[in-house]
Amino acid sequence: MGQTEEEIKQSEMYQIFVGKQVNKDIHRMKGNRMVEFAEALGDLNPKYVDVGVKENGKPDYSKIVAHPAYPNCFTVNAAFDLLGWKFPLKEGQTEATPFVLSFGKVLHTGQTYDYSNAEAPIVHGMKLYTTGALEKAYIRNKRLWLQMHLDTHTKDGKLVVQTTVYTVFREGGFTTEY
Amino acid sequence: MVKLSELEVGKTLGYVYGPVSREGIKKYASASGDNNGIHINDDFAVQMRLKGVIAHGLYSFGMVARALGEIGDLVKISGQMRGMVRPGDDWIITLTVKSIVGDLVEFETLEQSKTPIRIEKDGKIVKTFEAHDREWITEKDIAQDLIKTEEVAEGTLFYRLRTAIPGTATLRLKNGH
Repeated sequence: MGQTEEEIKQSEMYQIFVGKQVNKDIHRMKGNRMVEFAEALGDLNPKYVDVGVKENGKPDYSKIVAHPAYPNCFTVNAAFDLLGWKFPLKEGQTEATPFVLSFGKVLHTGQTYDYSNAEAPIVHGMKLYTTGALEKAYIRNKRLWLQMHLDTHTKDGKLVVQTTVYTVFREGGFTTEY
Repeated sequence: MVKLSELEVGKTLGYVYGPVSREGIKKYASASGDNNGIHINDDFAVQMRLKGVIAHGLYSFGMVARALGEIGDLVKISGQMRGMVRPGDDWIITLTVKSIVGDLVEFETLEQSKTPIRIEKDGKIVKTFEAHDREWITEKDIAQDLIKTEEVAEGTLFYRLRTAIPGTATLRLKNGH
């Protein structure tokens, strides 16, 4: 189903956010969190959960890598970043109109993890940086549809994963008048 | 692990995981950092007109990645979250080989949710599940012929089989896989 004329007009006001960068997010990779994530999926493949023991008795995470779905953790903060976005103040306005009215109205509608250009695996001890921007925003079927692209790099700039996030805010969850 | 030589275009592989539980959803919420109340708080989810908590879309998506990981190394995965998955559901995952180029295998992926509704014996309901009690099954589900049956020990199980996440994926299969 296409957009109504009203939805096309409402979509226009969201175009000021297209290209807007989300806050750079820093992730310190910890082996125990990587294991916790794989276990939450019930994926007990040794390459994700087989933690060794160092001579000093501490866990040895050197032989495991993060589960390929782990980059979900890099997207959560980016999604929550939207909560703070606001429309520019208009003349006479004392309080900016928020982008999101209710985060309870958000639904995740799609996701892509792309490792095809990855230059390093995600391992314990890494400091990773996620940057990205809103790529698309439009209203259709009384819902606000968003597409966000994120790149996650190591400290020295090596790409580890590219992620595309698709979300929808249901009716009542986003601003329709500005 | 599946060997590259065992795959051919059109071949289908199937995986079943579950059932989804509230405990499992909470564990995923903790591991992913996504503690949105629609996933972990029934009262809040009802306030949001969702008739109870739903699993994170990315929890279900992660299950597709899990299935693919049983075959090879993930290069790319993409999916559209189309249907909500709830406690009590099973994830039914079907992977179909679309192309093989060198050591790269492209799949069409389909995750469905299997939602138990009720068990009947001799025309009488002998057991109901949350989907029945909380009215998760819609007229649309019935109209789309999503309600199926199968014989189980206690009688005839009525369940809904619905698309959760269709998508695509590319795997790299190493030599020897």
